[in-house]
Amino acid sequence: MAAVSGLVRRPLEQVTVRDAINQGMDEELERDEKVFLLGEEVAQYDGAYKVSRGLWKKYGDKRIIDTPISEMGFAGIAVGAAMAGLRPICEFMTFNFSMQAIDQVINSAAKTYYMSAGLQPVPIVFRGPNGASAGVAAQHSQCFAAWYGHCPGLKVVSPWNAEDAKGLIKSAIRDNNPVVMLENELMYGVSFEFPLEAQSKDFLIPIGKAKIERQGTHVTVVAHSRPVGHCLEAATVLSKEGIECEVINLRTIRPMDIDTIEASVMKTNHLVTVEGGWPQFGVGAEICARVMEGPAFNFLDAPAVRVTGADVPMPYAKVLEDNSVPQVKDIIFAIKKTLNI
Amino acid sequence: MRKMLAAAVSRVLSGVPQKPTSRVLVASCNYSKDVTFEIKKCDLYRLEEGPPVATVLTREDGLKYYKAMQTIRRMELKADQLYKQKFIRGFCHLCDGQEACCVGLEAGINPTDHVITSYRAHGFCYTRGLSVRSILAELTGRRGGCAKGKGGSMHMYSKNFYGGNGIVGAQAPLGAGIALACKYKGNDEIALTVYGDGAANQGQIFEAYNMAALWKLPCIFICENNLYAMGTAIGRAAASTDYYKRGNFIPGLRVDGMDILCVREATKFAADYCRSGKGPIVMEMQTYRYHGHSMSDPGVSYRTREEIHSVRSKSDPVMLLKDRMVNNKLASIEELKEIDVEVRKEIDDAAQFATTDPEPPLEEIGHHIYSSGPPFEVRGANPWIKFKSIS
Repeated sequence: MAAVSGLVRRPLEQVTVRDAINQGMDEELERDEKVFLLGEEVAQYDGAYKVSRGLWKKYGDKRIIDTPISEMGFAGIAVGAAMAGLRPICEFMTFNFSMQAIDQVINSAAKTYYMSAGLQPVPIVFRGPNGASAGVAAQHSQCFAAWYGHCPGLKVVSPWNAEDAKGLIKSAIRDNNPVVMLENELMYGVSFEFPLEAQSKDFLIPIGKAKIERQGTHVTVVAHSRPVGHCLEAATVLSKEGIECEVINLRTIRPMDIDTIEASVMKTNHLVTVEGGWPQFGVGAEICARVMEGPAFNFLDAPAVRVTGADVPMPYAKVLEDNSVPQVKDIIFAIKKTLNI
Repeated sequence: MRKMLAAAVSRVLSGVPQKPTSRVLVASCNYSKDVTFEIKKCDLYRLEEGPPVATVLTREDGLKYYKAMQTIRRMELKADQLYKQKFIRGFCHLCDGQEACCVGLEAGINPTDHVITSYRAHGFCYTRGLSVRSILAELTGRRGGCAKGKGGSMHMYSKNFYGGNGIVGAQAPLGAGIALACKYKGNDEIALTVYGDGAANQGQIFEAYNMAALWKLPCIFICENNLYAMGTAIGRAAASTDYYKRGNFIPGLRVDGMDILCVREATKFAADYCRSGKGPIVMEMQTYRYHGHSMSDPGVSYRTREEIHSVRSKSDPVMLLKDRMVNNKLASIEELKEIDVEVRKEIDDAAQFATTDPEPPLEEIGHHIYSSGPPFEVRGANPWIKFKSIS
C-alpha cells in the first residue's frame, strides 16, 4: 500500500463499490496507455451496471471498446491482445456468460505461461459481477469462485467493500498474469468509508493476502465478497452475547492466504466458512481441507463448518431465493453450533 | 459428396510446373539468376483483382525455400520415426505435404509480423525461427526443448509466433486479438491466423470474422484446407466447402497450397490488403497431408492409398519446386542433393540431441505458473510434496 500523503488531509469519503472500481480503472487507463477495456455495453452505455461510466467519454473508441454479444470471440481477442503486449480488461456482463468463453480464460490465458516455459505471459483481467443478484433466477446467479479458483495459472480475487474493489482492480491490472475479478452486483451501490490511503493513485491491495476485518477470540469466520458484510453483522449480534468473532475477508480466492486463516484458527480454535456459492467442491470445502492438512487442525476444538448457498439452482420466488443464500441468521446458527452453544 | 471431394482433390492435383516466360543467363556460371514463372490464378471472392499470375523466383530464394521445405519434410518424417520408437508421446500432428503453406506464408510477410496456428504447427515453428533441435527436443520432452519440455508438440512458441494451440478454433479469436494489438499500436504489422478445414466450422471463427471486419483488424484468416478434419471429409462436415467465401462480408481468395510461389504471392497480396487498413481478408490454401490426422491415425480408413500416392506423385510441393529449379537452371540436381545431405545431417544431429538430452529436472515442475512474481510453493500429489515455483 502506498504511503499516505501527509500534506493533504481530506475528510473520509463515502465511495460506492461501483465508483471505486471506476476510479481504479480510470487511474490505470491514465497511467498506462496499453490498458484498455472491452466488453458488452462498456462504452456508450456507460456499462451495463454503470461501472465504466464516463470512461468512454474520457478515453474514446480506441481504449473503451463495445463488443458484439460474442463472449468466446471477444474473450479470445482480449487474450490475443494480451499475448501481443497490450493489457486488456475484459468485462463479462456477468460471469454466467463467461461460461461461453471459459476455454479462452483457462486454456488460452491461464495455462500459456506454463506451457511456454515462461516465454509467453498473458497480462489480462477478466472482471464482472459474480454470484447471486436479486430475482434473476438460475441461469444468472451462479458463483464461479470455485470453478476459476481450481485452476493453476489464474489469480482470482473477490472484493467485498470499496477499498477492496479499488485496490484489487488496480493490482489486477498491473499484474502480468491472468486475473479474474469476481465482483458482486448487489454491492455495486453500497457505500463505504474510503480510507485516506485508498485515495492515492498508487493504492494497491496485494493479491494473495486476506484481511482481518474484525478481531476476535472465540471463532474464526472466513468469507469472501458480499457475505463478509453478513459475517460482520452476525459478529455484532453475537458480541452482545459475549461471543467475539474474528472475521476474515479472504479478498483473494487464488492464491489463497491460508496462513492468515491458520494463525486465526490456532488462536480461536473454531472455524466457520461462509460463501454464496454451492457447497460441493466450493471455497469453504477447500479451506476446511487445507486446515485439516495443516498445523491448525490440532487446535480445532470442533469440526470446521461451512455456510454456503443452498444446493439448488437459484429459484425465482422471493421466499425461495432468500433461503437459497446464506443469511445472517444462518451464520449465527452455524457459529453457535460450532461453539456448542 | 464424393464428387465434391473428387473435385477438391483434382484441384490440388492440377498444379503443374509452368513454363518460364523469360530467362536470364549469367555468363560467369551455369545457373540462371532468376526466372519468371506463371502461377495459377486464385479464385476470388469480393475482390476485383487478385495476386499476380506470374512471379520471379531468384536462385537465392529458390534454394532457401527448397532447404526450408526439405528440412520440414525430413523433420516431420523423423518425428514419425521417433514417435514409433516411443520417444515422442501423446499427440503428434504432422504436416508433411503442407510445407509450401508455412514456407510460402513466411516468404510473403516480415519477421515482425505475427503468426498463430493450430496444433499442426511444427512447420510454422521452424519458419518462425525455432531450430529443428529445439523442436524435436520439445517433442521428446527434454530440457533442451523450446518450451523446456513443458509444452510438447502443440505448445511451442517463439518471437511473434503464438503457437501451437490445442483447442480447435481457439486460435482464431486470439489471432484477431493480436491483429487488434497491431492496429492499436499503429505499427503496420499484421497477424496471420491459420486454422484448418475442421476448425472452419467453429462458431468462434465467425465471431472473430465479425469483430475483425467490424473493427477493420489487420488479420489474414488462413484456412489450410487439407480436405479432411481427422477422419471427416470436408463434404461431410461443411454445408459450404468454399472456405474462402465463408467470411461472408470479408473478401477471400483460394490459393494452390502445393505451389510455394502461389502461396507467396497470395500472401503478399493479402498482407498488402491488410496493411492498407481495409480490414481482414480470408485465404483458403488447398493442400494435402500425407500422414493421418495424428500419429494415432493411419490415415487410410477415410481415404484411399491411391489418392495419397496420386497427390504425392503429381503435386508434392518439394518436388514441384525442385523440378522448376532444375528444369530452368536455377540449380542443379547435384546441388539440391547436397542440400538434402546437409538437411539429413541437421535432422540426425537434432534427433540425436532430442533422444539424449535429459528430461527437465523434477524440481522445475512448479516453475512458470505466474509471471513476474516472487517464488512460492506449489503442492504436489500429497500435502507433504512441495515444489518451488519461480517465474
